[in-house]
This record gives sequence, structure tokens and C-alpha cells, in this order.
Amino acid sequence: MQNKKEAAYFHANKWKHLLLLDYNYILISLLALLIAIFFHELGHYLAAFYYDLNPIFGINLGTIYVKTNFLDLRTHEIISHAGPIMNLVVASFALILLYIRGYGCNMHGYYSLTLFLIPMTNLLVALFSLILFPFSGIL
Amino acid sequence: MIKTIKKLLIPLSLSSLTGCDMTGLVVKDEGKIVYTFTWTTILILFVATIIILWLIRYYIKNAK
Repeated sequence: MQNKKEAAYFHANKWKHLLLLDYNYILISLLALLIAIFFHELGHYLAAFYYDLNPIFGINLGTIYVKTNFLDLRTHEIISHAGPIMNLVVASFALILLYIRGYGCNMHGYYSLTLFLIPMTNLLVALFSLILFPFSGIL
Repeated sequence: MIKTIKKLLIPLSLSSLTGCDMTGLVVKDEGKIVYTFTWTTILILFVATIIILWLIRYYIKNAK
């Protein structure tokens, strides 16, 4: 009985044990971070597209960027905020998915770890860009 | 007054570390605005992620 309980605990907390067993979580966190940055730039792109500013979505030396025309300060503010808002939306969806799937039960460990890291990195990127926001762009 | 505060704050902010004109997130280029993450910004975020994961790892190890 005790062994079954232990096995169930281990099964439900596979993602936690993966942190202790190896260092693959470093690679997975980089992947999750790149996903978060992609969605952040996608938020800017969609907002700029909504205002017909001819945005260009591109990759330059590995970094993702969005280039848009400048309309006015208010539109610029909205487009700037669209990135962190998109991150918060993605984080919310990932957290709902994580809640439904139940923290790694009946899932492969790396899948549950990725599912844990996606909302975490998205929240981190959103908070980081919101902290920088008062000092960013056209003051 | 506000302009003076901003002038004092900008060099002290994290954005001055990210290597771009003002910040790693928004730069002006030929009348257009570029929203981007520089490699320095990505590096800062990556280090922050690893530190958070190490804290979780530390918590799990000591919770046993």
C-alpha cells in the first residue's frame, strides 16, 4: 500500500523529479522562453495589424522583431502593451490546461515540465516588459 | 521636474544594461518603430528563469 502511494506521488510529481534528476530543464526553459518571446512579438504584430500600420514580422540574427510605422503616441502605447497582454493571455490558457490535466498525471514528465514552464516564462516576460515600460520607447 | 527624474532614472534602469538606445524592447529605426528583444534581454530573462528553477529545486530538495 505504501509503495503504491509512493508510486502515485512520484507519478503525479514527475516534473518536480525531473528538476532533480538531470539538467535538461535548462534546454526546456530556453525553449519555453523563446515561445514566450514569439507570442509577445505576435501581440505587437496583431495590434499593429489592427491599426493598418503594415507591420513586418522578422528574424534578425536569431532575435524576433516586429517593425511598424508610427501613427501617434496613443497607438504606440496600445501596441506596446499588446505584447505583455498577449503573454498574460497565453499564461492564463496554459495555466487552465495545466489545471485540467492535473500537474503531470498520465503525462510524460518532459511534457508536464514544459506545460509548467510555459506560464512561468510568459509571466516573467510580461512582468519584465511591464517593469521596463515606463523607461521604454518614446517618453 | 518629471523630465529631471526621467533623466536620472533612465541610466539607472535595467534598460541601460540591455545595450539598446533606450531599452531592449523598443528602438526607433528610420521613422519606424521596432519592437524586439535583444540577446542581452533574452540572456537576463534566461538567467532569471534558471534562478527561479534552482530555487524550486532547492525547495523540493529540502521539503523531503
